[in-house]
Amino acid sequence: MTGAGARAAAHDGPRASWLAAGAVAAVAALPLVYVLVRAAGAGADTWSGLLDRRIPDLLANTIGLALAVCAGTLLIGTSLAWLVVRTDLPGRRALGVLCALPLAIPPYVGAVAYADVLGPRGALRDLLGVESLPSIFGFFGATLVLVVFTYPYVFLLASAALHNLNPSYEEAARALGRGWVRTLAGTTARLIVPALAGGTLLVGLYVLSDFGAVSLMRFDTFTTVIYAELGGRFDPPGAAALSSVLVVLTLLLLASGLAVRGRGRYEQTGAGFARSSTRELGRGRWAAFAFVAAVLGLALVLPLARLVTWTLDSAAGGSLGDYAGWTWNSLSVSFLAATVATVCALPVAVVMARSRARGGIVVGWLAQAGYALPGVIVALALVAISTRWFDPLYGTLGLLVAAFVIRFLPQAIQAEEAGLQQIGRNLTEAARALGASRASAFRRVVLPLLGPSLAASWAVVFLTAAKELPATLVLRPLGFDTLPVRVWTPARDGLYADAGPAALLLVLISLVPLALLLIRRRGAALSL
Amino acid sequence: MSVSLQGVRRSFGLTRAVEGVDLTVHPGELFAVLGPSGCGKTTLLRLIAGFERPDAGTVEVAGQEMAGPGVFVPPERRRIGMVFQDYALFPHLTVERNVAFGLARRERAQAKASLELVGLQHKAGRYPHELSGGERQRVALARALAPGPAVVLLDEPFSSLDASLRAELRREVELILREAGTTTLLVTHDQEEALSLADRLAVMRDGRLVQVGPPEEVYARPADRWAAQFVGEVNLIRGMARGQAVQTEIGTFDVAGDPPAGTVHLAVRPEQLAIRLDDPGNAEVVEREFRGHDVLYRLMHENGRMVLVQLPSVELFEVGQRVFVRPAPSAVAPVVG
Amino acid sequence: MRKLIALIAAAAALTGCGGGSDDADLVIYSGRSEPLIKPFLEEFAEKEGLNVKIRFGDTADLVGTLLEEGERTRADVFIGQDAAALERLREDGLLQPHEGTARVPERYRASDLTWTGLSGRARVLIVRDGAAHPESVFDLTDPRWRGKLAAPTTRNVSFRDFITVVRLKRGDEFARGYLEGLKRNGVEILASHGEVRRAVGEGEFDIGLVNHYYVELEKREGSDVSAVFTDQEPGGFGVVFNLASAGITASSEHAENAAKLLDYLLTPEVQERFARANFEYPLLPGLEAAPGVRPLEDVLTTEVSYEDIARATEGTEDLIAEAGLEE
Repeated sequence: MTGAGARAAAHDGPRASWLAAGAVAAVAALPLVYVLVRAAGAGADTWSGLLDRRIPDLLANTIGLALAVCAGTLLIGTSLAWLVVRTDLPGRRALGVLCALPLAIPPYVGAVAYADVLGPRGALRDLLGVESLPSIFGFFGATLVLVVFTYPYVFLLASAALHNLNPSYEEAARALGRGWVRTLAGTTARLIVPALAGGTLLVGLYVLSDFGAVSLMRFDTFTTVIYAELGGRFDPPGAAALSSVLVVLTLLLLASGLAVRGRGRYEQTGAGFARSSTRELGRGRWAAFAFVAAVLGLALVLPLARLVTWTLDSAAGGSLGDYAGWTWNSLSVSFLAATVATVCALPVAVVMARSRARGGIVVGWLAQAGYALPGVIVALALVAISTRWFDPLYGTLGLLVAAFVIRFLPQAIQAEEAGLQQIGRNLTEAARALGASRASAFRRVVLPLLGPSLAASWAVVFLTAAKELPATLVLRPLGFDTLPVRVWTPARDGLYADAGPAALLLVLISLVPLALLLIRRRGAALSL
Repeated sequence: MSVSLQGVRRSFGLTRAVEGVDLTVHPGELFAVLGPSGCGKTTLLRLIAGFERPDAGTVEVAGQEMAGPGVFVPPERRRIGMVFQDYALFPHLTVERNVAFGLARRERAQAKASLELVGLQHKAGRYPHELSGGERQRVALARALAPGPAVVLLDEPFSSLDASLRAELRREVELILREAGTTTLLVTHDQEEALSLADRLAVMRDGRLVQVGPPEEVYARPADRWAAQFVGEVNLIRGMARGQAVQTEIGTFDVAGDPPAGTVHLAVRPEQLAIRLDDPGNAEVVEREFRGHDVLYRLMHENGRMVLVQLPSVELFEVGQRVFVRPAPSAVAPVVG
Repeated sequence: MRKLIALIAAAAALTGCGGGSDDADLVIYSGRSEPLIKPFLEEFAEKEGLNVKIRFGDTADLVGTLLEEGERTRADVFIGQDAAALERLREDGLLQPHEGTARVPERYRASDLTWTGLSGRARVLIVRDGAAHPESVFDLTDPRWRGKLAAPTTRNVSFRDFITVVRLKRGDEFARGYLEGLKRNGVEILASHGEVRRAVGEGEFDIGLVNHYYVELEKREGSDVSAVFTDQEPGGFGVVFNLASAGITASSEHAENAAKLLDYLLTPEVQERFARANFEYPLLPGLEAAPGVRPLEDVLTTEVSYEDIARATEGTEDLIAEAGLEE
């Protein structure tokens, strides 16, 4: 009616949300600011040394890995999505659920299983009866593991997009004389470009931030070297300088990903169609089935089978009580992170959804700095900040939770903002016209309606926090070991079997929030 | 209770949505603001409700200043009832709890009474998505009425209903509002709705009120050509004024008041013309739009202009027939400049 | 909302959010791996009735942590896999002397008593029985051994210290050439010493670069392997002898308990048991290595000061990276 956009600008969120959102954004952006300031302060010597010796190789390694993994996940994720949503693949419903489940397996857990099974003295060598296999370690292994355990991001977004695609477009293309292959490649693919870009962007961001999988696959990227700089080499300015390069790399990826996604976003008429054209694969059905089964074999059967056998004949150290303690630690830190992040994201989401003022956009971006901050960097920054200025915080669980919240706040914000967008402004206005104050309208109308989104936000943060490794390694309080730590410690020394039980427990507790997300069809909450 | 606006202005950036509106709605009156999309009528409603703050001017409800220099009462303290275009029923609450939303706990009985008023007491336990469009609208109305508001504001209340439902509900809503005896301000782009419901109405264009008056007057004596065209179908016919009559190519019309001498324009409603079969006559039927109880004809006049004529559907003319068109007996047409 | 806050507070209380280690009587950072040393630390805690908290990690990572924490650290005792780690901490003034370490022979401890070796390890070759092997570690670059050689990840401090000693004794150019030679010979870099010994034990490689006790561990599991102490000719290079070491932090709030722990680990009885459990060399005079381990007096070790090793460490990492062996 009367200039809806203009009206929104006039209705900036209530002051309380602005204050809260501002505070959250300031804390969330703190590590980013710290790293950039510290890197700028690193001497010319540090920089020139790094630029000469380390940065070129690291850029090549990191970018190469990100490109390879993105390409691989795009290929696998998209084809699986198409097969499951748009063809008469046998058992497509069940397969559709299974294809998303590798999200419960952290890539470093996958790497443990792969290093063992495909490693120099692994089961595959014995199976093939050959003397030796080409080494799994290095670029190839890192790419393989990351593709296999991150393709579900692309898969989930692509299948949601294919599901919601108005079939009339494809029917129109067919009616205009295009064959089904050309329709698929030309029309369908073009229409789901935003979803593909979004999924691939998530994968790319993950690759840049991954520490565990690349370490176990013995492939140096920025994260592993930054971690090493913090350790034995102990060169904080160098670590900060390398971190700043990684942050810039991440921001570039983020910007280009969002640009592609935005440019490809078409206005779609209608959505959520019961009817969708199903491609009959004919004889190809079983070939397609074999392809899906192969992917699931690599992504689910192989790692899980290995973890289960390790657990069954476990000679690994640690009593039942130890495992219970580590599991409890993992659960409680993830619970705290998920709860705090869900609460902190709320004012930011409100400001973003209800205000188009420039301030809202800035607050939104700052609060989502976590996208550009791999766990290693958050850890580095929080150690430095806390030991300098907030010493009582150092070494507490609170600091670890803060790291998780900063790191995973963007996911919570995205989920909640999407939820808020669904709640029309007029509902709040109706409540106010009926005598409810701003706060009471929010409590009585917005919060109850936001419930599913809050649950999704909580589950996503819980899932990612439970799997987090590098920040936990650096920031955990004394004697506070979580399951990821207990996977990492033996695995780093090549004692893969000893990592088995903790890894299996970790996968099991990750399945709960993942199931919650998949059942409620909130897989999209995993998106940007 | 009355609503009164004085010199109210509101701009969004460079867009002037409301530009100096003076308006008084009397207690118990059903008042409509009629205007095309983007004329500022919704903003006007939101200024009264308190969802917008006027840049200038004052808003009074029931004699109390709600907005003005240094004064701004938030919407929840204005005692207004609002029915939104899409009803804005709370999807997580039952019908009864929706209606009770604006009531204190001890006033819950009022919710039942309000539901009875709209005849939906049997749907109290349902959720909004389980209701039909018409039922939702009545729930929205019941909810707005339940707290006993000083004034009820309706924003395009029938626009999301099927045409078949619209007329029926319009009547029903009017009865409910009259029974409740509340002051009502309704905003719409549908002239038929405004004309049939309102005690008085205002025609709004580009942020200004062009004309305020009872429906018959607005229809019979539009303030200008635009208002004439917007409120119903009209033939703008040029003629020469001579005393109380204006001579045109179609015939001589009586006019209200004293028209200025010389060339004037008349706003002649289609029903103010009559035709009879006559070959060659002075016009030819080129189009016939059958509307049930009456028929709208488009005639090509011999002077080359299109003329609209509306007649009861008792006698039908065919396309291609030659006819003679002339002023209907006792037609009094207004001069519109 | 109030309920939520209460819930968070309850969860935080349950998981001990807040002070964390404030109730600890002794905080230990241990770069030595958990299965190896934990039994001894637990035994000590029980004997003294102390609440001991331990942070396990890579020696190098823990050094970094302690350097970052500085005097605000909560650690009382630092246990590392090599002496260079402790030397690094001493240089930064993060350690305090402990008289009790004087009982250790001077070459196995800091002259100012700020750290002490706990056990010794010799850098040897693990060789599959019946396989040919060189007598000098420097001959490993000979094409004869191409494809037969495994080494632990070059991030391992024992390997790194070995290269540092080569640099100190023979110069950077020699060390670089040596590393490049190893690379040319296709040395297989495995995740850990444990992997190297298993790879040789299973016959995948003929020769591995390890510490001597890994050979004994592999033998105990039934593999036919032997330790070869290289460069033992009179006046030869000898084998690099490294020390698992410990020290008390300068800012320790429980220095008394820390001292008790070091004294405990340095009692002859514990030294002997430790040596028998892990096949490392006890350092106190008069104690013998576990049966089957070549007695220390029969081993020619490289003369080098641990201070020099500590100072040269950073250069070694660069050298390894430049040789393309970093993995």
